[in-house]
Amino acid sequence: MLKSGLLAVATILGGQSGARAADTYSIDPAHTSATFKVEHLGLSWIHGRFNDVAGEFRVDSANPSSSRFALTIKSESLDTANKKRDEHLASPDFFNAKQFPVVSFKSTAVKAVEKGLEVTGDLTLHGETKPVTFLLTGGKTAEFPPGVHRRGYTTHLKIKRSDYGMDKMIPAAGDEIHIEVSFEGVKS
Amino acid sequence: MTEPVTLLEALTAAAMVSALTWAIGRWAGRGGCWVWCLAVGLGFYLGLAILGVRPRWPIREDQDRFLGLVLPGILAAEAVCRSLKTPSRLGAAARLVAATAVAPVLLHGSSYVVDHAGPGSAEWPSAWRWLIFGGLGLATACNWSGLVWIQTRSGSAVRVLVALATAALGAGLAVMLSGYASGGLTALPLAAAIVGASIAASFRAEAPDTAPGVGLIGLEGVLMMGAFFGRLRTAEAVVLFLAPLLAGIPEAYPLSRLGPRFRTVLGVGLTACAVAAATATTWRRFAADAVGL
Repeated sequence: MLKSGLLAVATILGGQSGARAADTYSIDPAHTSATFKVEHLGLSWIHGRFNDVAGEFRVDSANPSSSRFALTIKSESLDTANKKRDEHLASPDFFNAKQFPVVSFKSTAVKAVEKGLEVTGDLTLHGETKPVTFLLTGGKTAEFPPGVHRRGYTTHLKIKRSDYGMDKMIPAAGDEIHIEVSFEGVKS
Repeated sequence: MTEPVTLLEALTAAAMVSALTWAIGRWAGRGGCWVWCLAVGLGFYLGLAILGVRPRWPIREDQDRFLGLVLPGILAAEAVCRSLKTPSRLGAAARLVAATAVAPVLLHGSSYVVDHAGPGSAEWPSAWRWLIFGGLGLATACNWSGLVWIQTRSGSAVRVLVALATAALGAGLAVMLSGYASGGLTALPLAAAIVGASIAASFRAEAPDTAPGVGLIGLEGVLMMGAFFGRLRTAEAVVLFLAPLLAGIPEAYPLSRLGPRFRTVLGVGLTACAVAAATATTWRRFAADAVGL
């Protein structure tokens, strides 16, 4: 038991366990965080997360441009640790979760750069689709538990919610949204 | 968030423009329902403009459909139907059609009726959906017919309209307190426009010159937005929706023996009591657990 545990930890810390040239991964929700922060009255930052994230990605180490990333998030799963505020954020004043239940991203181009992968794709939020580009860092692999191959990435991006038609209550709730997505995929 | 001063300006402008439009229409010898619809429509959309609210194009959300389709549609329909003096059966049928159309229009593309997450994922299965739409339409048409009856029976051009404006005002506040601030806000200039035109109409107008349909459909739309897209509770929505019918109570014996002005005040007062009770309930709930944004 102890031996297998140490082996697993060593595998995680070691990273880079020889993945095949093109591997497909399913997002592991338990090890994936889609978080955001937004200014409140210009005074403080409200932090929130989405609790229902799914998706898959395909990574081709030999030919990064053929890699693909797709993510879907349920709008209604947003969580700012305040039920009343979450209900308001789900209303048409913000996300309109009944009308636009899903936030999604689908890559259209991936390019290897010095610090990771530069991913361009279509972000659909509040029913509006716009192109976004961000740097995806990480890409390490691990086997944990034994037999389960993982790969993970992290990215930060900033968007203006008004660009997506989510333009009510600005500036009480800030226009600029800081998003961080950190995800692990399990190899299919 | 809307500044109180801006809100006051919007409501005052909505009331004054609708009153002036009505007065000018009457002064020019143009009575009738279409002047009423024009007055309420101008006042309402001016109030919205001052608040910075407008339907967006292309239409995508419930509020866009409410402001860009439902209200212009009912204003036009009321103006045409009432001005043409359609027979009562045809008018009742038109009311049923208009009332039934509101829910499908407002809920179009929402997760209630669309399989966003794969086949069969809509919140309302197909059979339920049409039952709900039919039920809401029938309830609205019955309410509408009841209000027309009260208006005719009372002979008052303004009692039903002021009752509707009171309910719209309460509905707007209740929806704002139920997590959908911008949806509830749209009801306030509607209430102001109806009150403005009603005050002007109270001088010389006859009951057939005014139309309760605009106020009722506006009330229904705001309540639906609050209940389906916000967190307005069904019981509160039902009370607010039915409250204008209380304006008809003074037509029952022995209250019907009272003077017409007293009956109007009593009818509007009864409506206001029901509206205040429903709005106070939402306020208490809001105050109990609100920290909000």
